Amino acid sequence: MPRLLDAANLPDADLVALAQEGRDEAYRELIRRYERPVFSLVYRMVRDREAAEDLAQETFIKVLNNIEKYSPEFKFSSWLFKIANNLAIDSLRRRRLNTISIDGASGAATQAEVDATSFEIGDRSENALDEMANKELGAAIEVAIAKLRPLYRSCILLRHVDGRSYEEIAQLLDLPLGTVKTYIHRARHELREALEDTR
Amino acid sequence: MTLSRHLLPDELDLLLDGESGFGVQQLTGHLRDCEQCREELDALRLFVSEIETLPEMLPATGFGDRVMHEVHVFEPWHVAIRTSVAGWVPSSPVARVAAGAALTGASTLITGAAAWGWANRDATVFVGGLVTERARDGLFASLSSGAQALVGPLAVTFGSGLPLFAVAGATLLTGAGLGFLGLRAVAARARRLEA
Repeated sequence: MPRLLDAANLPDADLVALAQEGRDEAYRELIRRYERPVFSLVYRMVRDREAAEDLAQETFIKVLNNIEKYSPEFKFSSWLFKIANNLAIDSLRRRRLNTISIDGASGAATQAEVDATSFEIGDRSENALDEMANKELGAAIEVAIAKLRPLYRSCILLRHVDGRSYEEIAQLLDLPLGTVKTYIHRARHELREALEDTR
Repeated sequence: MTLSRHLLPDELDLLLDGESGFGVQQLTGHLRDCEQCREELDALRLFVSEIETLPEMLPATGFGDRVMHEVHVFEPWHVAIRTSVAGWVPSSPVARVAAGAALTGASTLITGAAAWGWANRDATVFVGGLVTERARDGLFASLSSGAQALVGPLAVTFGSGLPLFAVAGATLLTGAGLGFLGLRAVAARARRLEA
């Protein structure tokens, strides 16, 4: 019988190693540790609770079912957030079929980049959020973030909500470091402009 | 040398991110003298801290269980062996010491016997041959009597000895095979009914 784990005090790398040995409690601790940040990121990306639940669940299932492929040279959380972000972006792309898209980012070089940085309007949940917007700053920031282009949204959330470094975000989103910095600077300015109107 | 104009948004971002590259010294120099730019940078810092304090959101209750329901926890073979072996190790220290002593004693005896056998190879081969022959005769006799009881009439035809043993063996194997197939069919039917 394996000894009981003090899972809550183990670093991610140890938990992953135990999960690779088939220890159920290590899997559960990884979920417990990251369910909130992953769900928060995905929810703020897609602005739909039900879709966010499904995407967060899909993220964990994908990661944990492939845990033996994890390479310890990368941070486990980076791998997890990368998959969560990719799933959220894919979901937004699929949802774009029902929305109107205008002007991709000026620096976008490929069609995929144009798609990912396109500004979306006409999304029902965002309109609902607009209607719900109140004077409270937190809610106003949430609304403003929801209106950012998907890649700007990813960058700003990873940088300022999850506290990731620029280098980590670049690795996570497969973008050049300079592009990440530009996106974050632009996102900050867009957010500030949006919030000026609500203050 | 300091700037003669106010800082641009990108320059404020550089300071906010704590950059230290080329040209930043000039910006910080300007910041010391310009109250308006200092206020602008403070406002930017406050704004970023407001984003950073957004609360975490909770998925619905039972999220972990739903995930685990879809996750295939796989125990590699080497871990399974290690776990099984660990299961045999006594939990109390005294019992562990006793088990260790018993194992050491047993292995010492086996090693001693093997060494003696090697030193007296002729005697070992003779005794081994004798024991093997006796065991073979005993086994053959019991199988023959069992087979005669099972296929009595055929025993008359083939008499005793090797042919009878072969027929009895074939009959037993056929019976076992049919039994196995029957059990498999019953299990498959039970699984279908369960589904």
